Amino acid sequence: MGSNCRIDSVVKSYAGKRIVDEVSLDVKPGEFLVILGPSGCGKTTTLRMVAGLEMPDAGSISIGDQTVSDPARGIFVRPERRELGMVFQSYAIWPHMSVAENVAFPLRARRRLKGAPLRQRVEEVLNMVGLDGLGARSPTALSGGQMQRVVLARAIVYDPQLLLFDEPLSNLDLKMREHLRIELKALQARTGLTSIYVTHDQTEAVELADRIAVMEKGRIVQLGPASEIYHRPASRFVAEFISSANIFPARVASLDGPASARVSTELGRELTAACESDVVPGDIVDVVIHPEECRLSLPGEQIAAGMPVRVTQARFQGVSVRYTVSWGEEPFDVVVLGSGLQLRAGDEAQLTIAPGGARILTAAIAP
Amino acid sequence: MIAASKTKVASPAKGRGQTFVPQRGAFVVYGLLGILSVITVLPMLILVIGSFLSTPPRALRIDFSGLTLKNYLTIFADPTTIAFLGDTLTAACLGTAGATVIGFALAWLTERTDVPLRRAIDKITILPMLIPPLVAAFAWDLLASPRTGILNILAKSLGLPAILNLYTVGGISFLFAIYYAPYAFLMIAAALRNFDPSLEEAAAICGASRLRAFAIVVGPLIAPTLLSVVLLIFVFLIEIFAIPAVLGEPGNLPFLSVRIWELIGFAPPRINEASALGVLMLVITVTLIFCQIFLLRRRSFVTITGKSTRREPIGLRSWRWPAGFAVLIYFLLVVALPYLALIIVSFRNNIFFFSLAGLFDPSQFSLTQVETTLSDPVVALSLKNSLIVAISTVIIGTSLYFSIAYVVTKTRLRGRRALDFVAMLPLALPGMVIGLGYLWTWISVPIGVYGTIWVIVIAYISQFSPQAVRSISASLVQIHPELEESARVCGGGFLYTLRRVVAPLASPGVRSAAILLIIFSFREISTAIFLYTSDTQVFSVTMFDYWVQQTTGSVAVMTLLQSVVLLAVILIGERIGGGSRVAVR
Repeated sequence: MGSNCRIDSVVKSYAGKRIVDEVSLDVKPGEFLVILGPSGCGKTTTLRMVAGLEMPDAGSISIGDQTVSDPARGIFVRPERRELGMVFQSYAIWPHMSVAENVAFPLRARRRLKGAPLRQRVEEVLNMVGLDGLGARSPTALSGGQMQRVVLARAIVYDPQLLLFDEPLSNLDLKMREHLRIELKALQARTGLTSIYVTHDQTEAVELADRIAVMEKGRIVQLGPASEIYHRPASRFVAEFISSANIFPARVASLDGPASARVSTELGRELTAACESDVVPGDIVDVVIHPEECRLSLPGEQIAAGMPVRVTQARFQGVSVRYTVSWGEEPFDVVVLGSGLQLRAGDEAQLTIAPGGARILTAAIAP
Repeated sequence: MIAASKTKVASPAKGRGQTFVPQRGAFVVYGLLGILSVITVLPMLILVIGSFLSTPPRALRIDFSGLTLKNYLTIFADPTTIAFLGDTLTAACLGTAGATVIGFALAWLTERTDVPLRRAIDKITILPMLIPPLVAAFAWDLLASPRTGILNILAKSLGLPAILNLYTVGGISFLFAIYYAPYAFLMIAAALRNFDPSLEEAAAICGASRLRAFAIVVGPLIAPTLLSVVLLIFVFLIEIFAIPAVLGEPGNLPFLSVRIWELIGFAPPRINEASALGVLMLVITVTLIFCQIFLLRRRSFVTITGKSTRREPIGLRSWRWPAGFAVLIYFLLVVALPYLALIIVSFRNNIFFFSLAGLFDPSQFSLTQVETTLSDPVVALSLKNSLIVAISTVIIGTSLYFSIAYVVTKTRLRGRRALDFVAMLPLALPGMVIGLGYLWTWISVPIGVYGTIWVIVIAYISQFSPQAVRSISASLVQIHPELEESARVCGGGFLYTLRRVVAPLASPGVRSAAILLIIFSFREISTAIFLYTSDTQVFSVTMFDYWVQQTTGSVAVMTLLQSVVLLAVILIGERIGGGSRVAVR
């Protein structure tokens, strides 16, 4: 079982610019936490500070019950003393060593094991990641997916307190990425290692994470389980980053109930949207609607609350068709599963939104 | 390899490219800066001061009361000064022009045309760089001296007039051109290779012919490279000592470097005036090198991509074989003929002959010269000294250069840019000037270094640092920082990581730096000429000394001996590293 990791108000600046701005995170033992954000948001720097590869300017980091970084108290534990496993974006496999030597490195460097027990442990871990029999190979002769497994084996071989991942799958092709994602999740569940995983890929984040921390401009803007972040984004940024949702400004017309309001846009969209924070009639708010929570039907069908729209674009995407329709003179995306409904650009259609599918964005940041 | 590393002066240090090293590494930077200051900056300062003094250097005494401009006034009052400065500059200009034209032609032919054996040409063009200028000068003296030169004798016996005379500004410029062309070749070929071919293709699509596209598009973009090549070679040719010392003396052409040596070597030594001339040379080279750095900084705006798309070579058609023949002639002149002359002279009884028949007379074949030379205790001593100097330079130098290269490329420690600058400084310092500076410094500071072999070792370590640091830096830069970081996270301490990860991955660069250092140590003469004693004279100095004494046969044997030693070093070096050449991500 892994240890917990506490990041408390950590700050890091380069050339006077705050790259990481008061980031706090509490990763529970055995948890898989994903830090998600666009490039340059400070997520990798945060991870590197946990690893000890960067020194924070302020704040503290502790792993298990040991404080590893606290500039105010003059504490800095070097990376080699932090008992971590880390998977780097570039793989960082040492090309002059065999696969087995790469995996044995953490054990040798720490003088944990040698001789037969060491070979046995390396063999065991190589089996665990599905590389049995490849120990003697040169890593340069391996495929991208196999290299990634070597790196995984190297990271877990000595039961680290914490596993860190820095965009590990970004160099792989789509198929291999999906495949390794599943394996990674299974491996983490099996070993029970606490993991912090940095990525800019929302699919990856949603699939792997117990909790996601979304970062923007050096700050964590939302922290929570994947489904919560997807369905209840805390801000326009989060909503845009985590999904390809429709987001548009609207004016609150009236309050329907404790958590529901009637909103309208200048161009004539009128709908009911769920809301959590206090809004009053007259407020300008952002409304978010996921494209898969809408339906399109033919003009003749009898549909309750169907809104007339015109199809401007239809894009076939394999399992689904993504339509862009003109609703109130503005584009709006709808995703329809399967290709049963065959609309073409220029066709008239009716748009319905699933109950609860429209949501008013709350400005406040979730804890 | 040599010149290419000389051109890259700016270090490519970028944000996250560097490895984490704790700040307490700062003392390492100060330590390295201290060492470089003592071995590079201090001698230059003392030399400059010395050029304003009226008394020669004495232990622990710098008499500032004698501060004077007299040395400078004396050298400029001397009417011969203008003459030899004129000769020096003329030969350097002609030599630079010739070297650049030959280098450009070779580079264009191998990079862009279907000239025969272009791959092989690309490989062997660096061969002339392995022939020390001193050896080239000896060999060409044997080939083309007006009365006894082999080529002139051949011409006479064929009934042609003996027209070759190398004891002239033109002759010396000719040698400059053919032996410095490889430096131009390396830099221009690299620029042509890195040039984005789509730019030329675009011009071709717009209707320009291949040659026209090359001239219009590549010409202007490659101009800064050309200009910097010109500046660099010009600096080499201003400071070069070996060729003018050998070929200028018979024609009474004392070049600047030779004049400095004469002022010190002939009694009574006039060290203060020599220093003033040294400072004059220093001012010229420093100015030119800074111009070159400035040009290269600007060049980074030019579009050069890393993509090396395959390019269809330009068909030379009926010019293909003539072009190949011209290249062949070049190698004949630069490598084959000189070595042929050296071999003939080494294995002859009497080195003078006056006809074609005399040249091939089998009764003249003899091993006497070889035996005499190999049993000569002075030759043995100087070979031993040179080997000691070379090995010490490699061992001490490589550790120092590796530390500097590591700090500069892999850390964010404060002062690393200053360190890089001081390590590159000797690029602008002529060997003669370093030698003079050491003469002043280690006589003034008597701690038992002057007169030992170590003063030569230290001078060489200072002098060769730019090339060696560049070579090691280049291989360190290629090691992805995450390779080191992952080793740290995996539990390896700094030194463990250095030993198990960085050192093995950097070994190709370190090895080529070591080979470079051995070659440089053997070929260098201008520094050592001020620092040797009869006990510590190195191989190049002995060769020059024997040549001055006219024991030409021994000199020829020594050049062959040196070539054999250097070839062995290179082959062994390649062998040691042969197996471990790995792709470094």
